[in-house]
Amino acid sequence: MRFSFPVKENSFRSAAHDERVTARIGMWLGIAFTVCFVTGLLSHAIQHPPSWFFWPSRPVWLYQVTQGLHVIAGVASIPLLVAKLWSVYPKLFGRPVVRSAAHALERASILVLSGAAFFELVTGLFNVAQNYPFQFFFPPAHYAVAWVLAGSIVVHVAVKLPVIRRALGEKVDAEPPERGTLSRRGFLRSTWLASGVAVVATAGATVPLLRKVSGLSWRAGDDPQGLPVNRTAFAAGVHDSARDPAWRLEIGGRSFTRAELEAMPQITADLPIACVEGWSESATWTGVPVADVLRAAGLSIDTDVRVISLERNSLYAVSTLPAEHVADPLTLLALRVNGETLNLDHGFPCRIIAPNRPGVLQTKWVHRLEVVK
Amino acid sequence: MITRVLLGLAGLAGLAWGGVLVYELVDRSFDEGIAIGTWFVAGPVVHDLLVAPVVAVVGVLVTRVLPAPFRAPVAVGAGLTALLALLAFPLLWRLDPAPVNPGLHDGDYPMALAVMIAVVWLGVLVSCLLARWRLSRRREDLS
Repeated sequence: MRFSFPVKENSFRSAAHDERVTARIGMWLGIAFTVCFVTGLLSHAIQHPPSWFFWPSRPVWLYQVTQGLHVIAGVASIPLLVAKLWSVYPKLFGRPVVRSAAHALERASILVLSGAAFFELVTGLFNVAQNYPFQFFFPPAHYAVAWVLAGSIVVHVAVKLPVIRRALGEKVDAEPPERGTLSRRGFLRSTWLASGVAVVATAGATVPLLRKVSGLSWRAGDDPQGLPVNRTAFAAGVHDSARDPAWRLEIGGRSFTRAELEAMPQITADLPIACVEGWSESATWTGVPVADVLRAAGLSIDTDVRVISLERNSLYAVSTLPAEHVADPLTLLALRVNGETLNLDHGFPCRIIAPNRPGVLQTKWVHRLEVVK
Repeated sequence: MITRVLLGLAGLAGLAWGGVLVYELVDRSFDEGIAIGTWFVAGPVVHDLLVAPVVAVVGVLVTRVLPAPFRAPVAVGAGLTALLALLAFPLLWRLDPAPVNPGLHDGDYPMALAVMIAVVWLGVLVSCLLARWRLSRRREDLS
């Protein structure tokens, strides 16, 4: 590119602005976005299950993997999106601005596509950092725009299919660039490198192998009892009520003291907490299976169970355990973690820890269990 | 052609459903709708008017100022630096203080970012030296 004004479509001479480059980056961006979309829909369905939806309680690590993939694929998409847009940037200066009605529609659809893509990646990146500079509630907005993004990508692929086929059919040569800095192959390899760097820099949040090198992981630092805290007892307003000696676990007209729960047969299991925000951490939990508590209260275990926290006025103070999870002997009312009594921030006097569920549904400071008819 | 039509229809259906979901949010709170719209439009605007022109200018400077073998490593190094800074940004800059959550977003991010950028430029330096060494060996072979 020379500094000449006005800038025209052919002012850009870099090898990056070539349909063979665009199509290859686009393909990988499409794959990454598909992973994000599918795992995101899954996470949404687990948290807001439609009547036809079924989510198993095993393998215990499944949600940890799907949600980890969601966030890792999102992070990997950031350099892919920027490289893709750089590859097609000269088209922005194509003249005439609008050639026909179909062309106008296509340009508008690309604006929607890039707006939705940036929206998803930027809000997602801020959300995993628990940083909320936007004046809207993250989950429903991220979910709604995900459909806009998915739809506009499919429309874009439909429009560009002949170009994509042609471009992917041609080889990418490595001839040194006449102008600019990188060859076509060099630009592609640099893009893959950037995606790899982005993943390595952050994925330690859920991949233990990368913990030491992922300096920009939002899961960091030393945590109490070897496990991060996503909401402290103080923030939840349960600092006093959770330590009240009068605390009882209420269930179907019965109530249990913590000592009574401790006297029941205990199960110890290694289970991960896998947060919707993409971090995960395994711990050794000890407690009473929820099914045993139900039986002790004389209730059937073939039912959904509503779990109610001491916490008030929070969206996440109540969760519903599906019957599938209730029946699983690894679904615990946990009393201990990693060999110690559960501390206040981890949900003392007792908390739910169930296999293969989002962390946000692993309700802490449990106060009452209710059978859902 | 049938593939394209079917794909197009499926895409439009997805878009329409997304539109319904967005409309429900706007209908529930107009202010939230405005905020969502602003963030939606901000991405393409900031990219097309700021990010891409900066990339273009840096690219031109790299080709004008640096000898040919150094251009690619320096350009890639600059790109990776920007990427790492972008990833670190939500951890470093906050409008509201972070929620106190022990074990989350409490790493030493300025240090981590500095170390990672230093590693990138060490890589750039090694690549430049390698490129120069290769060039001088080729010249020796010719002479």
